[in-house]
Amino acid sequence: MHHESDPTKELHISVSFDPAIDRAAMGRDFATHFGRVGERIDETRYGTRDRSLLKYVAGARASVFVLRPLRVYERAQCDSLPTAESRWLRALSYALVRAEVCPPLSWKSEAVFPRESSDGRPMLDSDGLDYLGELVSYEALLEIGAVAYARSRLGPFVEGFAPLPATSAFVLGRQSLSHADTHAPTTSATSITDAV
Amino acid sequence: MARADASSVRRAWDCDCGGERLVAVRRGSLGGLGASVERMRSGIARMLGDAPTSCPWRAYADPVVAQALSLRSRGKLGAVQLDEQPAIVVDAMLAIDGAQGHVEAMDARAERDRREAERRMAEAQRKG
Repeated sequence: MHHESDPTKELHISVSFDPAIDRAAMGRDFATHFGRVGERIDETRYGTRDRSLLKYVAGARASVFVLRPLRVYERAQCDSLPTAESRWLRALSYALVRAEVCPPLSWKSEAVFPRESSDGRPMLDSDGLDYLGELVSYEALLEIGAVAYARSRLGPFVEGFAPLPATSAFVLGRQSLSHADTHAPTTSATSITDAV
Repeated sequence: MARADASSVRRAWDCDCGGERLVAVRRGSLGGLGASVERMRSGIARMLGDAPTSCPWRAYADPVVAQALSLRSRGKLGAVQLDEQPAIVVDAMLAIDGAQGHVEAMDARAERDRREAERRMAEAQRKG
């Protein structure tokens, strides 16, 4: 089976780039578990997210995110948003039941729960997203949100993992940062200029 | 169907249900049974756009299918607020509804064609 066993239940997942996960020890199971992540792997699906496949670096603990399935009206809200990132983040804010974050992915151990929104349902608001993003990085939020969104669809994990569109705000932002780095003077260049 | 027959059918579907893994069985290798399963598989793919990856009985063990069928029967009683249901289950229910509607429409068209052919044949016989 190439997808999680029951997308109608809560799912406990970790982030693919959590330093606590021993990618080398997992071998091929890494792609089976996470699907295509970060590099071209033949596996074109999201992976099983079967926690029995995970292997950890000795003495390290992975951060865990608990997601519930999205309801119809929640997914409709996500679908109304214009970009992939915004859909994923909205899906995360609806689907997150709790996040148990800890080093090394996060800089401190903490359990994050969504607050209750005006309609009485728990939902991670924008402040909560920002706080969680500060703890585990924006990329982690996107990865978890992408899973939350994708598992609400039939054939839940059939798309390649988090392939952001090249025109997405996140990718463009990263590219501009990269270009800025390329054109920025290096410390050695500065020192030579100073010396002259 | 006898137990041996059920096992043969599973093997013909290339399915590992029934608690045993039936691997390395070439489709169509079971003579008439394999060929008929292959016809069913390709017929389903032609009608619905997707070929089944398991035997039909295994699909009922899929939790999404089970919940979609349950939701469908509760929906017929008018006791369901769809917006509050898991999106994937509602998608599955709509897919099942769509598939059933498609198959029923194809059956109806086949039946209409058959009656039309009979009518023409009867008409030709009357004239002849």
